[in-house]
Amino acid sequence: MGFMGKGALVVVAAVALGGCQDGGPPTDPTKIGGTVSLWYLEDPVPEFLESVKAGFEAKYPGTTVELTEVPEDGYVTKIDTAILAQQPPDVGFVYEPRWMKAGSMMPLDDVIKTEGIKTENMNQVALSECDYDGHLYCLGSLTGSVVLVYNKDLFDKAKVAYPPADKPMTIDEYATMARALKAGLGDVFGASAGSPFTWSDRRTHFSDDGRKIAGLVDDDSTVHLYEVLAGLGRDKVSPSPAEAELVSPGDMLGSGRLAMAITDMEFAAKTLEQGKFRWGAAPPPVEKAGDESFVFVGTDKYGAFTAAKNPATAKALVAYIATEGNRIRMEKTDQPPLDATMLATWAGDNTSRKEVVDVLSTSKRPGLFVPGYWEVVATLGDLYDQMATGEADPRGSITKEAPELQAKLDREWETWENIK
Amino acid sequence: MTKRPLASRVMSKSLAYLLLLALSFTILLPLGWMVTVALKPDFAPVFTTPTQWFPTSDWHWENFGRALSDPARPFLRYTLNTLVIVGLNIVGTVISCSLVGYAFARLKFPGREFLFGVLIVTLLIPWHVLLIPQFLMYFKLGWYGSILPLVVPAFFGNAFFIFLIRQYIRTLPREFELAATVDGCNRLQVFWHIILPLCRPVLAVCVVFAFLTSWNDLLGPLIYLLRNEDYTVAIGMANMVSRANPKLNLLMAANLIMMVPPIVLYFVAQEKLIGGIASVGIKG
Amino acid sequence: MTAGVAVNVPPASPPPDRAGQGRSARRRRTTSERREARAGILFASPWLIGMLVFTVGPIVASIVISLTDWSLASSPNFVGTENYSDMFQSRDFRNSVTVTLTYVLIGVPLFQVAGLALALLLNLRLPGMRIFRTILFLPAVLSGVAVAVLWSQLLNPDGPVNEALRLLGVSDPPGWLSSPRWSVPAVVLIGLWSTGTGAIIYLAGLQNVPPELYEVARIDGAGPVRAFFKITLPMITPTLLFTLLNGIIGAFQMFDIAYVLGGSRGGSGGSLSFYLLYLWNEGFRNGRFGYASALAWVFVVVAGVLIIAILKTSNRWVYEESGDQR
Repeated sequence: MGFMGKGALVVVAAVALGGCQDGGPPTDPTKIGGTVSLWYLEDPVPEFLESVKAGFEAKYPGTTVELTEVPEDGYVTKIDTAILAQQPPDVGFVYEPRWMKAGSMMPLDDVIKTEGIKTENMNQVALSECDYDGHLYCLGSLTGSVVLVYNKDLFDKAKVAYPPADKPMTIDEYATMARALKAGLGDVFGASAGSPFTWSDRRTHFSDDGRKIAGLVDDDSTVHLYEVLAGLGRDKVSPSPAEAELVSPGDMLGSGRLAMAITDMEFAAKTLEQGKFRWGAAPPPVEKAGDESFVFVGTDKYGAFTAAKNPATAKALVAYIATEGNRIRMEKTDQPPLDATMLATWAGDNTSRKEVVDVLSTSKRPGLFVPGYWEVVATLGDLYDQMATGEADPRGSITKEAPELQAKLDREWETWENIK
Repeated sequence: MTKRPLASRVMSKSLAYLLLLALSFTILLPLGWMVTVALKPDFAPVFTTPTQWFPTSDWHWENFGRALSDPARPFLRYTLNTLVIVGLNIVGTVISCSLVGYAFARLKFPGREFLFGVLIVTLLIPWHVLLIPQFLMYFKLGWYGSILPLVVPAFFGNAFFIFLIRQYIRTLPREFELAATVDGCNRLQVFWHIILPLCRPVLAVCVVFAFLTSWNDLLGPLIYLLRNEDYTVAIGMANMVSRANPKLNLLMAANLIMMVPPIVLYFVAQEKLIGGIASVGIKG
Repeated sequence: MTAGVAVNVPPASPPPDRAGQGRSARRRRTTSERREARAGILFASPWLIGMLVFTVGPIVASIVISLTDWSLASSPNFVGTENYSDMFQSRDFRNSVTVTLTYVLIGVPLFQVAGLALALLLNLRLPGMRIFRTILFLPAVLSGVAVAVLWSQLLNPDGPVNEALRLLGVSDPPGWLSSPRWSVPAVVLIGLWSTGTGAIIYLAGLQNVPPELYEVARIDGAGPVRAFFKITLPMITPTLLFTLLNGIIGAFQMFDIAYVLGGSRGGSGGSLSFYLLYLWNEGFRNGRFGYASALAWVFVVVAGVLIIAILKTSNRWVYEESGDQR
């Protein structure tokens, strides 16, 4: 029948297109020039990409950068379909690691070499998200970190000593500090922290190869972490999840209603400065004394697509973002660049920023790759909210959840390994 | 009605009015609150006690302009693009669905009942799962990157609208058609001169909903259109509704802007929509 | 995407003499019957072609895909019915079924009753009714996304809705979307706000009830309540059937509003993980397209069986039209 034929055609098309992905990087490198397209997600600082475009076009006369904004909700679908159609942009935000594994992104080794990009100077946690099988597939320009940000004025008022910037506290020290702040300040919250998996080393929840969660997420030290944080919530030392959803920790810091928070450094710093407060930074707490410091850092992960129409220029643009882009980040948007050697310039003689640089340098380990990480831990986030309101008991609920989390993790690994 | 005492009638009437007023307020208050928020300055508290249901103090009309004037998002361009897509969708829907609806309502052909069953079943299929196969097909046809995937299917009927039109035509008296046939009109002429004019109310309904569907469609344009200058309003709005940096006043302003065209259309067409539907029974 | 909202015109009863007329004419027209059949297929051809090309083809493809482990990023391998057996072992799948069924069971009856009640109110002959109709039908033309954006703010734990509840003496109003228990009720509440859509259809049904019937009832001494149950309700059963089916399909296909309110992962504790949201997340966020296709087929079969069951039993409670016009 006709429609069966059509169906078969579509299936054949699906198979054929599915098989088209392993092309690898083009062997014939064309010259830099022409139009290069870049798809990006909403950027709170639009000046950045505008300046990158201007700078790149000036550096390589005859090139045009075409910027296209894509709403986050549809970004993955948009890229997936564009890859199927072999019409991806030249450069785009690498949202899904599976694109690296499937060969949809080009490895950047050659351009890193020719442009002399010092990737060892870049934050290793951020770069580990661009790393697959020992190759880098994306680079960035921003150090977006989650650290312990605090209001020095409130600490002084409560007569509590500042946390050290060069060494993490244990979670118990953190809780004691939060309670002292609350006791000394009355109607101000002592501390606020999102679920630990958003800021602590993933190795606290997962095995070192990222394949096991059961037995690690429910071990004593991790359960203790949750117990302590949930206790702060129950005793109203921390804002409730509902309150945290209504007013972000950054905004709460800025209005002087919260003394410290493990949160997006940049946003919190901005609101604290707007509120005319002196602020400081410290590494996020760790499970127990002696644990290595860890600071979660994300960056604007731009990569070049394998099916790019203008591959050489695409790579050049990524390289530009990773080099000049870092300077643009610092100069045009006043945000911390990814290149650690530039961080001192970014900090200048600002004490608070210097502390941030110190905090970043305490964290030496790269991040841990876990496929479908946010899918796996999603239920843990819901449990964390319930623990903070007293609805769920940390030990009981985590122990009960652990096998489910492991099952999810197994499935994510299976899907990951099926990608060719 | 005359039997019931006057007092009781006044009572029940005022009760009805009270109820209607209360219900109307539950519709209007949220919309009023949205206008209030849209007119606030940046970073002003939105959740106030008591709630400001209607704008009283802040009149930042420029918020609407700000929502629309971002140079990176040419909303005028977006609007024109969207109107082309919406217009073609409406034309396609009206032509194809009325033809097919007429066939299902009035013409006997083999397998009609079966096909009508198929039509109903297609209403059940979630569009999500057809997305990728359809995508692959449009891509093979070379339509990727153009508006064709967004408008061509409309010319091949939509199960829901066909269903509506078929139901409607079945309520029409056959006398006019019979008279026209006696006068020597062929089927197409009967359709064109008799059925279509009589179908105006139900077609108005289809136009409004076809407009709504394609005006609000985000995913279709997002997947098939590749360049900023081809984008539609829905994509522009989605880009504005930034989660990283939520400005509730601008979000609500954008939301209102997105709502205005359907509401305008509703006011223009409501005579047909409500009045039209209401008159069906009297005609029958 | 089909319009999730519906305005239907229920079939009115044709003049009683027509059925016989049609039947007697039928025997005499064989050539004209053939011509009519040709015309019928010709008129229906846009949809026939469109269905084969744009629907049946992709459907067959998606059935095939559901038997593979295709993940968009890699070439598909045939895995048999593994996707189907996987889903019944998945807790997220069971959760999404529970969420969807809860919504269907709470929402559909409520929307039906509310829609009918509103239509009855709007069917009263009172001065100024036109204005009320305009206002109350207004939510019907607002997009689900815009409505969801609005209500996500209104339902904030400290937002206007709870503010109003506190004024009414509710000391501890629900957390709505931030509480797993109240998330589905919140979506039902939003649906109730848009009741106007269903009411338009009911209103049309009510206006088709011949006024003579009420006249007869009044002479018999029936009060308004009895008249409603004896005349109105039986007479609008065709409308009831249509809105019921439409309501069930709409409730099963809940997507846009939940997506805006809870994100693709389905809100707090997965409490807004409606079936299609789960499907979307698996297919398009996680790239598990074979599995998502299998999910869709289970959905179509279950919803299809339910709809057919309702249609089969409908002749027991739906008022028979006097003579179908065939």
